[in-house]
Amino acid sequence: MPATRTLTRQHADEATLALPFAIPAKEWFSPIESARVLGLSERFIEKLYDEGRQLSGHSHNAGSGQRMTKRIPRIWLVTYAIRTARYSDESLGDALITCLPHLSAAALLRIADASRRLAADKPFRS
Amino acid sequence: MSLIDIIPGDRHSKKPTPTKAEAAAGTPPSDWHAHLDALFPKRAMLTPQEVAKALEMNPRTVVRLFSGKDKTRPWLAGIKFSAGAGQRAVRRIPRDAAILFYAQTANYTPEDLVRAIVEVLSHRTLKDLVTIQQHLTALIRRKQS
Repeated sequence: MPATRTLTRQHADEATLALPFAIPAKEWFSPIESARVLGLSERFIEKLYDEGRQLSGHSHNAGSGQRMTKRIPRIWLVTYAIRTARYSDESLGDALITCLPHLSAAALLRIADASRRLAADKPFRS
Repeated sequence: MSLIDIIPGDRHSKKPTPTKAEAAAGTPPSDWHAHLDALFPKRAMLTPQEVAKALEMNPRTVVRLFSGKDKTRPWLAGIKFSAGAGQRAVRRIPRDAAILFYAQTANYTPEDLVRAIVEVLSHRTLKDLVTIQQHLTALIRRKQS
């Protein structure tokens, strides 16, 4: 019964609070979609986007109007969600890992280098 | 060691800080090429459908960006021809033009993204960092092979 399966999956998605499952499996998000994922208003997302410090992306205009279509890459959404999290959970790291394959080898090398240096500075707790 | 020592960039620079759009425009095309390379199929010329699929856009939006009248805004460059006697035109977009378009529309630089990720990593636990490190090593090996 496909309908039942879809409904079951929908309920499971809604019941799951872990970040990787809360973000739909897609690469680009509109401000409305980002607002839905983060539980914020669209206007606040647009404000963050315009500031460009915490949320960035691409804006284009295919029509004749003044309003630009803004699109936020998944990795910016995940970085914002992790940066603002005031709790520690393994799922936050998992969400970041899912975004990394799209980055270039040079960027990955720099992140790996920084991560190694950060890990060396962290106190070891068993 | 403080975070400012780890995050890449010149913290002693006296130059005025450029705006986000200026910084994105000033980024070398090769950086954008490396950053957006994984998005598009590995072919020199792409159809509007392929570009639309890569960027999760409606194909009609891609066609409108291709044949946009207002050239002051970023637009998709490419070729348009009609092979038959019909009215329907065939459009092809060079892969580099698609990458250039996305570089022009960005309000960040690839450098900003790396900084943001490193900043996020600085708040992770040692266990998380080790896990991420393992994934990074595997990814880098796969990309370099």
